[in-house]
Amino acid sequence: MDSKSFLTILKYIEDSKLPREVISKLRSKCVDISGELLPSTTDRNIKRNIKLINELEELFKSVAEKHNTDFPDIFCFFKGYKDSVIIHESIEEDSRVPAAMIESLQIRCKTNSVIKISEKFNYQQIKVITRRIFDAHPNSPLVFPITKYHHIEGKVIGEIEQRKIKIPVAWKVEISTKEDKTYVPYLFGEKIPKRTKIVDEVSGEFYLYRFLSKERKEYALISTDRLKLDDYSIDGISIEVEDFKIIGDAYRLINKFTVFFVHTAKSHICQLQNHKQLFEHADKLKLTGNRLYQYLSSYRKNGSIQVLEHPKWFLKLTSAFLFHKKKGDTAEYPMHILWISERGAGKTTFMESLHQKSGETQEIIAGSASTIKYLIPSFKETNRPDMGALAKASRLCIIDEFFRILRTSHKEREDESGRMNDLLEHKDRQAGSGQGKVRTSMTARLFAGTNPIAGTNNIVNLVEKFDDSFLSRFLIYYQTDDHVKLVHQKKKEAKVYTTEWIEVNDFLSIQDYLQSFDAKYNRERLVKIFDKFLIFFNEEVKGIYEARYLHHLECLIDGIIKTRCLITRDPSFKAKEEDYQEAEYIWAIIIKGWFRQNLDDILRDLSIPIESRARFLPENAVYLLEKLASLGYKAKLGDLRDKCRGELHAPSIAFYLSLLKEGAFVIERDGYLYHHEWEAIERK
Amino acid sequence: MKMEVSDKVAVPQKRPHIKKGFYHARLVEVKPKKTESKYGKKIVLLFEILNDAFKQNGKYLQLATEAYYEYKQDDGSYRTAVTPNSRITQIFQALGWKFTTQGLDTNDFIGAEAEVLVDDYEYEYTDPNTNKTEILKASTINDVNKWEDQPEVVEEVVE
Repeated sequence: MDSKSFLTILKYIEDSKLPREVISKLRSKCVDISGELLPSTTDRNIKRNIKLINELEELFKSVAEKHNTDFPDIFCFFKGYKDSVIIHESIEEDSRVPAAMIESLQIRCKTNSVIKISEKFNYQQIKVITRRIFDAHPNSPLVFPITKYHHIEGKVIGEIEQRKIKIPVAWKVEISTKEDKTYVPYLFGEKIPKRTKIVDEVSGEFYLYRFLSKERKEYALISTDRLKLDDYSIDGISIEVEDFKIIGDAYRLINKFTVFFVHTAKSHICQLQNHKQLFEHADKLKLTGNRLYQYLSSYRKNGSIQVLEHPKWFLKLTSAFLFHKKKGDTAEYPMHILWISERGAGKTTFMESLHQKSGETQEIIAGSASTIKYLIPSFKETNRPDMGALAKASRLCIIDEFFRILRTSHKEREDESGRMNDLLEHKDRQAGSGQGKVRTSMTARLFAGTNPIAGTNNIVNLVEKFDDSFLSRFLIYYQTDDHVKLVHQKKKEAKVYTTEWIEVNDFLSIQDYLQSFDAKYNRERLVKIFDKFLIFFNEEVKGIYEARYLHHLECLIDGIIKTRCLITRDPSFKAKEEDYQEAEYIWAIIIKGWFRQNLDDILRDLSIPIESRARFLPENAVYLLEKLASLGYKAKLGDLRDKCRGELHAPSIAFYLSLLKEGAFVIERDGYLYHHEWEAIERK
Repeated sequence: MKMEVSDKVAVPQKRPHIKKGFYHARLVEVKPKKTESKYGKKIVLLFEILNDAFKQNGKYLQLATEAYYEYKQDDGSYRTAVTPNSRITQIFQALGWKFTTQGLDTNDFIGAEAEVLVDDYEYEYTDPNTNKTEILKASTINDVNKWEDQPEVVEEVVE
């Protein structure tokens, strides 16, 4: 606020009918204060000015009270300054361009052309360059420079056109007056006045994409090079053009839509280039396995970080899910996870915590309030198809209450779920309707949680309800009883907090790098693990298992190897025996979860080899078997009871022992309990 | 067949020795000890002493400590040494582990930092040149404690 404009309030004092000496006192105070006022350019200055105005306002109030008068205009003046808040300011851009730059461009550009300049010139400066080149040459060339003024990061979510298209970017406009004709260049984004005549134009051949930045701003991307539907870090210049939004039956609201001309595009925002850099980065973050698993299960809220406890194997599965590289013969696609469990088993909170580490601008999708059209491309608006949430997500797409999306159209559920198949395989496909078409591809991995609605509480029922091809694309995890029990138990205990956190970008750079290469492993060994479980499935379940579960197992081992190598700083990224064991252990838990309802039947089914059934034994039954083995594979019931008393109550021992006996894991003979391996041990 | 020849021979090395005291260290490797000890099986924990003064060829000095992970029982079987009050538990708790029955994976603590108490021990060293044997001092890690990072500097907000 300058003092001159502030002193306009003096005229309101002059008009009052106060004694001269009072007016004089007020005047001098106003003059004093006006000398102290600062320009209203920063918040700090404005705060200071308001303080001074408050002081002056107090003085006026006391005078008004004493002389029984009022200063409505003056109080109104003060109020106007104090109570107004500027929410957006249009600051004029610098339009100065170094003369030497213009001179060199004048030599270079003698015909109509689109050029790239590696300088950070803004839109105003571009206009100056175009006009100066236009004016300098007798043939008035039209030049459209693409500079590196803006930087955006995000994902190319769709291709608007399949081929390069010609787009006019600058025009030579004839302005006629009665006396003469003048010619002026106009650039893309400028409004060409009416009643003028376009006499020349320059067009460029561009690819046209739709881009979603990390800040959730959508751009129309104009690029001379073909881009993939992937993450990019882009330099270029953004230009705002007028657009309309339909907000009523007939009313259209004018708004600005941003078009971005690409100067350079760097694919995938991967900061790390090699293993050495990865380990240096991990050292800098002091990343240990312990810290990684704690980070994956922690949730930050209002400055405090709560640790949500889950079984260790589950956190290993999560890290493998995040770190594995996509696999596949033609199109590579990742392992998606579908987590099925009853309510209150920790799904939503875990997914929320995972979302915090994803760097995604797109929120978790609420399945209970969405339709499938929200997930896949849809064509409501002509020429502006919506890409769908699956394609919009960059690295991770999280859906809660997933089955509720599919249940909305109950009769056509199978067809509905199948509509996601191509996207889930990360295939680059064209989608279209009468309203338009678009090329799109998914780049994110999907983590979906759901309740087992509509009788899908075990794998057999699930396969009956949904399309096989759709289900096979997910690693289906029916939350095990042990996992549920742990979550419930931890809910009752005091909450655990930590102070350790990894910044999202630091974590994502590790994740991006690990996703960029294959770990080395023996595929035959995996096939053996894969085959071990085939024996448990009926024909339908075998169908989905054989279709894509070897792919998922490969993804799992890839992620397990990478996790171990990352935390032990092992640069080989090659499978060790412990990785295969870890993979088999996790795999067995997942498959065990499929038969939660009829696990006892499997354990008792003597037609299945005992080694295969042993994988599905409950923890306490395994404990009993171990104790029996430690007693020499043969013991009296009383001895075994004594040995287990510290860990298990008598009724539990009786319950699990009966299960072991029915499954022939333990044989009772002549008052002794024999371990099923007793004979083999004895023979040795 | 022409074979390459080297005049290099294995030379007994003097073991590292640094001043007694507490040092900032980082766990770099955990491996089972090859030979069994008196009461059972031990692991060797190798720490890097994060002190530039002891760096050699750009690498930090490494010192080790040992801890039982399985005790031998009278019947010849082994029982875990990872119990709430054992030394191994205390070491890994110092490295950030919270005691749980879900098991302990030593891999999860590679890279974890701790404050280690370095002490001396004596050993016999025979000089390969003079063949003279002498008693020398070397360093070992006697205790592992939690490493407390420096508190974060919080920028003062000026009104």
